[in-house]
Amino acid sequence: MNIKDNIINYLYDKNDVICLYDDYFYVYNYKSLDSFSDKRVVVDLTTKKITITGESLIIVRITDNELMISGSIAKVEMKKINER
Amino acid sequence: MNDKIKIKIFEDAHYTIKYLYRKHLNVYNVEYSKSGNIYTIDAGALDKLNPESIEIISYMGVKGFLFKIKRHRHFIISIILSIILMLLLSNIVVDIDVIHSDKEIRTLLEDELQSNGIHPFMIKKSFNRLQEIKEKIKDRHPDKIEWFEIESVGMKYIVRVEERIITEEKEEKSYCDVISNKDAIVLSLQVSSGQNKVTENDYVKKGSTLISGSVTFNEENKAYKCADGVVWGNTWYTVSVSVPLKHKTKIYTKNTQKNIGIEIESKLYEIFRVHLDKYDTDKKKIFSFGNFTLYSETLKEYKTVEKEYTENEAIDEALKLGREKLYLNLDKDASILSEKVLQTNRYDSIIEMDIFYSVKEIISEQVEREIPKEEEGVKSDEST
Repeated sequence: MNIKDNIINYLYDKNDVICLYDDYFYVYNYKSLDSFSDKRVVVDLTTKKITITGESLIIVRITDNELMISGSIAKVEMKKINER
Repeated sequence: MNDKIKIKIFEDAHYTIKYLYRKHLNVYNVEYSKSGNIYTIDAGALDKLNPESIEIISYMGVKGFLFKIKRHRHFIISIILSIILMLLLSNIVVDIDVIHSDKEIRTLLEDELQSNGIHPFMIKKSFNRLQEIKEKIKDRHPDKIEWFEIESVGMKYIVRVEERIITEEKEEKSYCDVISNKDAIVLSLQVSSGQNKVTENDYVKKGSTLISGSVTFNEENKAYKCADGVVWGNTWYTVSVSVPLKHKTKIYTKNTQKNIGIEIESKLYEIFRVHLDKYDTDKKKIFSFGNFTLYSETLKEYKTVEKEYTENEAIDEALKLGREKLYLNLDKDASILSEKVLQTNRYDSIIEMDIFYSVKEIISEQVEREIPKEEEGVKSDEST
């Protein structure tokens, strides 16, 4: 990553951020919510697709660039979109 | 606008979130509950939702603050009014207490304070204003007020005052005598200045010189000075008194009644009905607020009984009255040496008595004299 990309990323905050806690899954700068149910949530990032599976999954926060999922998370799977 | 709002949406959570997501509405928090999930969204997004399917729980931010104020307006208004009332009460003067033993000074100061705007039920004045008023009053009465202080104690102004006492300079008299102001027998003399003309047990007539300011030696006037001294004499008085044999006296019965009295502007009102016929009242102050005073009272019933004196009682009463009558005409230093009943006349309803009194009192009085013209060369001189 060159200096220009660093500056752009700093100014526009374009990097994806994913955080995983015991019962929470947080993603920043997601692109779209593909699908969700209480057992499975699929979220698209710019270059990746994340699939969260578990029990009693609920969305506790959903804004333009933030998504927070709560519940008993069993598995988080991430794939590059061009792999599909 | 960053104000947020909490709303309850009764639809299924998945459906609602999808709906909100598709409408590009930010959901900042979702509280899941069986009675309906609560979503925190932007207040501006409320227009995009169907008002029939939502319930506003609370506002956040400025709007939320205003919403809370509106909801608790009665409580907030009562708190504000209480604070205003408390500030008002703590800055109101309900009573002004001028502390001085002389009623004249108290009245003077009360009138002056009143005319300067210091009266009960006024707003407290600032320290500087009080100082100005103090100076103004002191300047107006330099001969009466030495110093005074206005102290604010609770809801009262306590005014402490010091009276200015101006001792009049004794006028220097060049030549004076001390004369007798009554016919008397001289009992004792205290000569401060001058030459005594009488001695103890001398009989003196009214106006006769007791102490002379003209100092003589070998029958020659050596000096004129102002005679001074005190001469005690034995004087005599006859007092006539009459006492009615029948008189009315109060006899207290054992009946008493407790009551509460309210005094408003010098008028006393009893709270409970009084069932006593004639009574005297013992008052004990409970509370005072401006012109309003609350008393605890004990009413004691009495009966008026007409009695007739026996002869001895009537004589005792007449002697008592005679002494009282005599003392009214005597100075405070005078004392009765002896008394004697001269004559007693008893009628059907009255007893009359003439009483003779022998009294010890000051009989001396200073009078100014003129130095004879031919003697003007002889001056007052302490060395003589």
